[in-house]
Amino acid sequence: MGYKFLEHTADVQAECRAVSFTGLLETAAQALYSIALKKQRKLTRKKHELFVSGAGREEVLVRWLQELVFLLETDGFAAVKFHWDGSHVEEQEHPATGEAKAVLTVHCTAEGYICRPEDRGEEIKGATYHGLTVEKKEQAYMARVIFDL
Amino acid sequence: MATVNLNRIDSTTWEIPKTGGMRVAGRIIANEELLKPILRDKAAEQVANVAWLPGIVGYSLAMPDAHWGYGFPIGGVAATDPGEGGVISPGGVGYDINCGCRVVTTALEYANVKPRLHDIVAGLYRDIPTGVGSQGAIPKLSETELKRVLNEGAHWAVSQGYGTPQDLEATEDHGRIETADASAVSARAIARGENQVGTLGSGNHFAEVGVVERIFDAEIAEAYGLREGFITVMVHTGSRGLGYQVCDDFIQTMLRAAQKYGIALPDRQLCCAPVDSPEGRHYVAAMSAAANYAWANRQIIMELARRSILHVLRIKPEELQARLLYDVCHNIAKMETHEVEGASRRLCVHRKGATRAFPGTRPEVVEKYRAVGQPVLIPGDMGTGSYVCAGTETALKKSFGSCCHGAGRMLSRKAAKKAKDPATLMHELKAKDIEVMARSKRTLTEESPEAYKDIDAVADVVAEAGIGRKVARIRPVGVIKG
Repeated sequence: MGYKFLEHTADVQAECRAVSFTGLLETAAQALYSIALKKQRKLTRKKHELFVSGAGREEVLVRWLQELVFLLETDGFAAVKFHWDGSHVEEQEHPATGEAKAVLTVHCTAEGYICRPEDRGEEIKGATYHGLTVEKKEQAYMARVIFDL
Repeated sequence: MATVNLNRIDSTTWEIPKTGGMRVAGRIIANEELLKPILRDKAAEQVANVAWLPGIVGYSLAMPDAHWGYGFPIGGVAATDPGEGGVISPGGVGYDINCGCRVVTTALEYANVKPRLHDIVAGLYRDIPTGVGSQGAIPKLSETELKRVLNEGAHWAVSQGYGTPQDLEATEDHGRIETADASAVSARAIARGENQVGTLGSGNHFAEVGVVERIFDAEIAEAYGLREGFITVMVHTGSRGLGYQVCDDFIQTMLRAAQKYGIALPDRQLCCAPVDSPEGRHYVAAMSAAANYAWANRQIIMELARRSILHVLRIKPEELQARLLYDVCHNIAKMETHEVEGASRRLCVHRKGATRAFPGTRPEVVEKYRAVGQPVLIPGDMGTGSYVCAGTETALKKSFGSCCHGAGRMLSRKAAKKAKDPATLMHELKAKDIEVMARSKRTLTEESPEAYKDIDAVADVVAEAGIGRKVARIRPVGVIKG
């Protein structure tokens, strides 16, 4: 399990694999940090609690990556370890249409550190929905996501 | 869709017939050579996907520098009619809202300053914050002051002493879109951009010292203040983290909105809402605010460059005569009036990696360029050259008054890094008398000349298709990058 990068003309497309969905989120985080950081440290002096919700796994994956990008850009926070405090699916009503939708929420505590300016690699503008897939195949989850650089 | 069929219309126009959910046909402006890389990646598929947008009129278009993006292709243009349910899509603007470039002309002759070029580039590298997370060009702004930036754009920068009112006269939309509303920008976006006003960033953003190498149209060049053998400064950057976050915020909004309005799309990154819906109006207000931030950013960076050169050369402003030729945005959606099938219609024109290229007959063109047309700035790669073109009537007819925004990427970042190591690249640029300073060697190789299409070929197609008139070619002699 792990990640690899696929060809994309302007941006970076990552393919991630893991045995669980939360493992997939961790693998995608590693892929993100391998782009955004030149040097990754093993320090765990800071903690951030992360709640991410979305209408399905694909949306949760993008929201998750966006949250990590936001923390990196605003606080310089890079996560090293993830402690999963749970995930659940609930029916929520769309505020405008009233339509019921299954919303997946994941919750974890991320331990990490505040990276130094010299640790920073490439600037990630965002994780996109273009070509986004999350699939469960046999015993593994596989995702493809494109980062806009 | 997996494949697209193409019909040749003429030597520079290729049509993707309307099929499936496409509401209009697609058109790619390219010759046979430039079409090859466009067909190698997914850009043509993306042109077809954009044609699904509700209210789209004319054609879904791709410029000669088009390549695979996300949602829209880079180099994509699409106009929608709000009167017919036309939509606005953050994916048609991109993360870097109002990414754009500006060119400054000077009275410095290359032959005279060549011995000081290293010092000039080192000065720019010292005085313009570059690189990922760069900050500190100006003191951190209070929230109140940042909201002024969002509402006032380049006018705010000039009010703080960064440049002159003459600069505003040479900036698209005079450096401020009136539809901006700072209150539409989220706290997260403000947090992401609060320290970055006056910073270049990284990736393909740069500040470049160039020399006007060739004049193609003497009359227009004179109107633009371009003289052969004289130094120019070009700045390419955008709205930094603030714009990225605005895009991200509204992708989420538009995913819900597309469901709400029953809009079927082949790519979620094209999510959108009617221009005249609450979601559409909210996005326009936030996007415009981010665009204003970008104009303030480029205005400040230009002034930092101007001050830096004065300091390094120990000359007076009247000796430098740094004058903004023009500032264009190439990631934006704008309300414009265009003629479609014989009728004048108010349209929302998305340009993602595309530059407006209006002829002088349009009221949007600044007064001093009405006789010759709007300057169209087409930066190439750091080792080859850039073009200044002029907008044309043909562009209005063919591409909603749009032209390309650069050479266009051809190699992926991975392939570009494999193609050349940093030392070889630096050696080659040095051999061409190009001084380069960059924070990251990785970025440098990713942005090597081999990664891009031939800018001369792109400019030739622009001229042949008539969507821009070649005015001058600028050769880079000094580059700073993040």
